[in-house]
Amino acid sequence: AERGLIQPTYDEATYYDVLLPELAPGEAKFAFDVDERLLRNKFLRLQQAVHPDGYGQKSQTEKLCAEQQSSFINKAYQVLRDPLQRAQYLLELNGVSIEEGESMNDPALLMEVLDARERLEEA
Amino acid sequence: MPTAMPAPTPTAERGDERGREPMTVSPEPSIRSRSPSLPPGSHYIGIDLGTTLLRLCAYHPDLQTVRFVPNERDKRKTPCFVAFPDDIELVESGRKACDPVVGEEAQRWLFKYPKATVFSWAQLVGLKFDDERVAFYQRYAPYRLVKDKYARVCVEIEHDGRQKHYRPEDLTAILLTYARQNAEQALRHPITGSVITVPAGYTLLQRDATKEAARQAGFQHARLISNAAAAAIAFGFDRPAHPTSVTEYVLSFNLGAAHIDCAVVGIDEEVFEVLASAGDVGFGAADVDVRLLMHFVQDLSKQSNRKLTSLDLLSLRFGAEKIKKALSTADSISHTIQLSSGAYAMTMTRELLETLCADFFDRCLVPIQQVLVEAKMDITKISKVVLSGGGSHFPKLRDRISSLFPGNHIYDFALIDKHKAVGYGAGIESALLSGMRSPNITNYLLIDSLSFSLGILDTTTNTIKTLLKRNTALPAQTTVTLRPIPPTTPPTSTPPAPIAVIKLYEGDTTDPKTCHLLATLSTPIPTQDKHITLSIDVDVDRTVLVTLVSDETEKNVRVTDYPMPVFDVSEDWERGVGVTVVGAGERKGQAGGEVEGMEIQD
Repeated sequence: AERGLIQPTYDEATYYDVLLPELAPGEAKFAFDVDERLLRNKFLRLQQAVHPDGYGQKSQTEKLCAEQQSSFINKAYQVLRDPLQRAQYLLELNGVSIEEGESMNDPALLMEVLDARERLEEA
Repeated sequence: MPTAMPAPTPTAERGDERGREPMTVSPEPSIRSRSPSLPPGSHYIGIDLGTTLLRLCAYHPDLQTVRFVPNERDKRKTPCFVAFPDDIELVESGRKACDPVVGEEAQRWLFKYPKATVFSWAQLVGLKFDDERVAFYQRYAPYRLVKDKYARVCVEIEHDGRQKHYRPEDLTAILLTYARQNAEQALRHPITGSVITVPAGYTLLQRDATKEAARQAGFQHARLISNAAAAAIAFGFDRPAHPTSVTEYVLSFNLGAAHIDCAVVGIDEEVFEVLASAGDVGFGAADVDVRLLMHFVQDLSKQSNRKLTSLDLLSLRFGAEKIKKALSTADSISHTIQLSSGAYAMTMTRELLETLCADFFDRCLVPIQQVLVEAKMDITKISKVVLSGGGSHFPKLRDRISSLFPGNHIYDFALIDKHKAVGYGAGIESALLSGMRSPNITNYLLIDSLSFSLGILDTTTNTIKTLLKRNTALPAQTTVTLRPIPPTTPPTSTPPAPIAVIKLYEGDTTDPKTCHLLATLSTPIPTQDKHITLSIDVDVDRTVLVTLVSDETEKNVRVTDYPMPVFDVSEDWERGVGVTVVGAGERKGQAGGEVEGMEIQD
């Protein structure tokens, strides 16, 4: 891919919008199950396009945009590839905040909470 | 591939995380982007900077391969020696007495001017004088190590009857200057960028010192990659055809003279991702030489009339190195070393060497286990083990590593000379940064990761809260919210405005004593119930940028942009120590946990 003009980023995107757009159909309704290979592939292709090393000889502004996009993609991938972090992120997107001190370290419980919420919403 | 892809700006994200309106702080590229952009057409060169040898590697787009660039003596490797001989021979040739000589030219002065010929200093780069590794180094070095005013280690060189102090990075700078001049002569164009290989376990301070050396040597930009990552890149270009849709995971192990490097690297077509890396700096194949040396000394002590001078120790040390190399292939070797008390003839077997070094091999395996755990990688998912570095070809070590991985996993390079694998990788990376493209590197990319965690001191518990974990992919960014609580006892008189002091650390434990203090930052504390937002950005060159936003009233003020301290700043770091500690904080977000505690200085 030719490294073209890189643009500043916009504000409201979630990790899903960037790495798994097919699972983020606009509404705040995201799937927990992701295809890991698909996710990794998307991550790598995006990094190939925006990684700052490809912009070393471009302007400072372009390089800065590349840096911001690249670190956002890194962060998104780090969260989405890990089931526990992904679940926590989903809860957060759904407006459930995990209070400090009662950190959720039990993936099974987390799944249960997610399932329960989904059933509630469908009801 | 659309490059205009959606992603929020870090500043906006801060707003999202806290459920407030996105803030309007706009990035100022001149401040925020740290590593320089070199103008189009700038040339980079790869430098395999070992402890004992330096290799220069340039990518040739027409030949689609990495070429090793010869030095002035037409050799493709330069011994890492810098000497300052006060010799009449040099003065007669028109050289000034204080001019250093480099490489083979310097090596030949070793025994005539042992106090002015420096070698193996790479392991001293960025160390404090008090470091135990400095004391160990001193035991076998003929020149004196001293402390500079920042408590860092320096090499004391005697020339012209006077003592001069050189920081290890000054010596590296001399070596890199020589390398750059050789490359410019051979390639016939100016070179302004470099890709330099360093041990994976180098701290930010050691990396900074190396970058400083590169700057002194005339490189406007120096990208540092680990030896293990570089060797994995070479593997990627050497391996047999691989199904393009499948990620291949390799374990790259590099044993240099004074470091062990280890990394798990995921390879997808041309993208190399460093999933985890670990290393041991100051410990490496040269420790085998030291064991042999100690064995010889013990052996000699049994013979009468043997008194060892410091020159004898030097002879034994370099003799030991030769014997070690020979025993990589031979089962036994007879060797004679000339000492002041006469010739010392000995026979050494591989078996005895292996006995002397049993615990050495154990220690080599530690980082391998560590990276496998950190990469959360099942051993069966590792398809190949890539060995590089002079010491890694030792048969016993090969066997030990091999036994960790069921099946025959040790990779034998087919096209690339195994001794040149690290240089090859550096050369490929230099092609990318030079903006070169050729059919075999159309979309090449190395995604490197942090070597050590970064965190700030939680002053309520006096422990370090990690903000960016080690092995986080670069560039990386994270944001936390700090909430200071006013002092519990109201001040009696009108005090100066309170200042929050935030200490940034590098290290993998929660104990501040065992981590490195990188910077102490301060910011005025906003009125009660307001936040301080702290963001850490680490770019691809591992430059750390901390942004503190103190959102007093509705206006957002960026209090300070604090780049990693330049290597020379160190006295300032302790600013703000010894203050009252109160406070708690909260944080909601994806990465990391609660960061609480700020120091309040009043």
